[in-house]
Amino acid sequence: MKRIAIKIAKLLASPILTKELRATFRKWLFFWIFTSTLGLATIVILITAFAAYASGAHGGLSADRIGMGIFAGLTGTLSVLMIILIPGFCAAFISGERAAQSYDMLITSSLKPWEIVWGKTLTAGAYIATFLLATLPLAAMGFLYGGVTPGQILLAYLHLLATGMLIAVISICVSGMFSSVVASVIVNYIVVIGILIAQSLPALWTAGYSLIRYGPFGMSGGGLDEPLLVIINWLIYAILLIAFYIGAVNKVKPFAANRSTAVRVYSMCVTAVFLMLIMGIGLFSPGPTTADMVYTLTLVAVGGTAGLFIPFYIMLFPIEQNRQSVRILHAMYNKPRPLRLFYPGGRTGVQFTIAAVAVWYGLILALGVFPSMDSLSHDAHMATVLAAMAYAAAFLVSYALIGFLLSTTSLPQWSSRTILFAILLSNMILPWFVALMTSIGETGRSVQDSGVVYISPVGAMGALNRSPDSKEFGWIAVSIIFHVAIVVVLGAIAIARAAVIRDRHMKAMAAMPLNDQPPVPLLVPVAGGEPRIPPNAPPAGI
Amino acid sequence: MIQVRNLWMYFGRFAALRDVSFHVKQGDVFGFIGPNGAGKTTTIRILATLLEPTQGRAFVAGKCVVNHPEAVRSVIGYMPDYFGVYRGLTVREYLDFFAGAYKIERAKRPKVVQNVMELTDLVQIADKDAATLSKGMKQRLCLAKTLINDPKVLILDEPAAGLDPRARIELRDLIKELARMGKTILISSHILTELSDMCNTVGIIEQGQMLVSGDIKSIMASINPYIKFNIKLGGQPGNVTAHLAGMAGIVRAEQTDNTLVVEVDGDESVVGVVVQTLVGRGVMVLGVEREQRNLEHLFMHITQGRLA
Repeated sequence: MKRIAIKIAKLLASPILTKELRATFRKWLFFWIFTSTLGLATIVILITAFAAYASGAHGGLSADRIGMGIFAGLTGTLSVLMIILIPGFCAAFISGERAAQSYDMLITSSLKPWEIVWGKTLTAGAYIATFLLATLPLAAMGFLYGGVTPGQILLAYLHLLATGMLIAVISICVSGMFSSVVASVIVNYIVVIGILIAQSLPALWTAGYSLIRYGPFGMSGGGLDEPLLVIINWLIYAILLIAFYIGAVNKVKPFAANRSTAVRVYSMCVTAVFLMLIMGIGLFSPGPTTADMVYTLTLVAVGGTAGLFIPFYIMLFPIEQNRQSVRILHAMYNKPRPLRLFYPGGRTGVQFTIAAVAVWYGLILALGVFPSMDSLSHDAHMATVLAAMAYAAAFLVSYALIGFLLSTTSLPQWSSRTILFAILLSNMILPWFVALMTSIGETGRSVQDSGVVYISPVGAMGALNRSPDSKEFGWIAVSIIFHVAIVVVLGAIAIARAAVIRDRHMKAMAAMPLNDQPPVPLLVPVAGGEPRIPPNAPPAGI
Repeated sequence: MIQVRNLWMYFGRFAALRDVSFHVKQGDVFGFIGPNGAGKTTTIRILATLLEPTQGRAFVAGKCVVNHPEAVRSVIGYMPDYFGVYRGLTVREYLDFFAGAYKIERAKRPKVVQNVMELTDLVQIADKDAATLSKGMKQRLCLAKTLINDPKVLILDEPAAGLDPRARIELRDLIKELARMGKTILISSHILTELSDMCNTVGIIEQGQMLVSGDIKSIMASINPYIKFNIKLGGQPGNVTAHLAGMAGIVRAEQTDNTLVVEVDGDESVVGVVVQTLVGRGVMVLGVEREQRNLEHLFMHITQGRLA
């Protein structure tokens, strides 16, 4: 117990926290931002309170409802303020170190990358906690009218703290991607607002069971009286927080080596947690039948494979491979194995990937499909689920290969990633656009009537969820074949491309410009024995 | 203490380092010399565990910089060519932060910080905002930060860049003091005069290739083993090289007006014989000057001014 206490004390005594608190909290800018934000929150709460009071005075609302209204107004205002403030505050945490040219000194100290990110996270936590503590007197206004218990306030504040920490870790991760603070700030806001919007996307996959409230910011201002909602929200928070924390640590690491291991392990963990999470929703939520719900959510889980793996796994490929492919190419000079190029981690990478996918699909089958298959109330069958899995697998591997192919070009990392995102978005949107164009002017014809939408992942998953008819199944089969074809073609191109790069490197090495004017031969033997003469250099003495 | 073996570093298709190898023994002060863009900073960043080489290996205190970066970081003090200080922190707080970052116990930190401030002469400005310091003082502060974990190896990348002459001399003295304390120092610079005073070994790199590395005296001797003298002549000396023909120990003799350049194989006694001969032939000798061989000569002789 004492050991644990010592470890926790050590974790909290981060030198980064001390430094950041000293440097940040002393600034006048911080004081003014902090004060004006509190002032703004106070004004909004006072307006809410007066509006509620005026409404209550005319007999519109009971005192309990007025108190609850003030409290909901406060939590909503604080959520919005945190979304506005925290990305801006945390955007400079890593990018600011790079911009100020202090990053190299920090990274060459004895602090490990995770400790640096931990220190920054603690700083954000201190900032958020200070901000929330300062607003507690405003929360007390809810007590004037009743209807709010101290437990609710505590829960709401814990949720706000968790929300703030999630935004902070996302911002630190994004900050790690940039050397410019301005770019980091802009992208931070885009990402946070994007997550805010993306939380409504699961509703597209589910047939009538809106998951809109099961998101990072889903229950701000309400839903605190539903324990399941709170647990699910915090689980989602934990998944995202760990994902972005690993992402941030990876961004801080100076070497590309071993960056992917944590991501791969995490992919497996998140697979299990995500699956259990959706099973939990299926088992505890009201619905037509539990089995139907499990079936529906199993398909969501299959769709989630692509949704989770692409940002956390595949999108990291171009970054890693750009750095590692040269090393692998050098290794190939001695031992040519073109297939190794598919995974930057070599054999270990393949093993991790296979394990992750096996665990993922194994859990889906074991927990989701088999136990409930007998009691399904509609005409869904095993073939549908297997088709969904095949679809997701083909989708994943094809994007992994596109990512790899891009990494073998000399494009900058950001261009590779942007192209990959563009291809992904085209795949998502283009079939819908084509279907929309073909259905214009045809009365009574919807976009779904054109089978082409089933090439899109969203269309395919949507159809699978509705127990598709034979025509829709046909289109989904076309989509799977399409993705498999991409895998085969890109695989062939990748191997050919690897050979081309290798040859080009060998030619470049053979015709180095130094050979035009040979340098002075080495005069003194270097460490390790024989002096090394550059290739094609003239004999010593010239 | 530092071993670099066959290091290659590619940035895209550009080879910044090509098969670079050298070693630095314990207690050596190694001057890493080369023109801009030669690959000095790339090599240093690999040694400081900030870059992963494309191929080849580098070891500091026997630890591989790629496989054991944390072990390497604990024994090195790295001073980058460009660095920033944190706004809002005093000099003492800045050093205290890095003492914490190097996992020095909280109780010991004040003493450690005080010691490095005394060594680097920063005590007078201990409570000054680090961001308001002059360039020279910031360099000192960075060097103090580099020393905070009492590293065995100091890796200093252009530590004197941008300093005025006084600050440069003070920094040089400080580095000499550190060398006396037994630290192994790798220092990069293209200001050769400042290096020649403090380095006992050098490595010259150009266009990503290590042209020469090792002990300065050995390198000098291997490049040109002869001693060169400039003999100034008075009056109308005429052609005096004819008087020296066939004289033992003379490798080369060239005359330009009143200056005679003689290269001798052997010690200074040979030039004494030359002077004696000239005086005996009625030639007026005004002075004899031995040409000093320094790092500048070595650098100019070895490098060809190519840009990477």
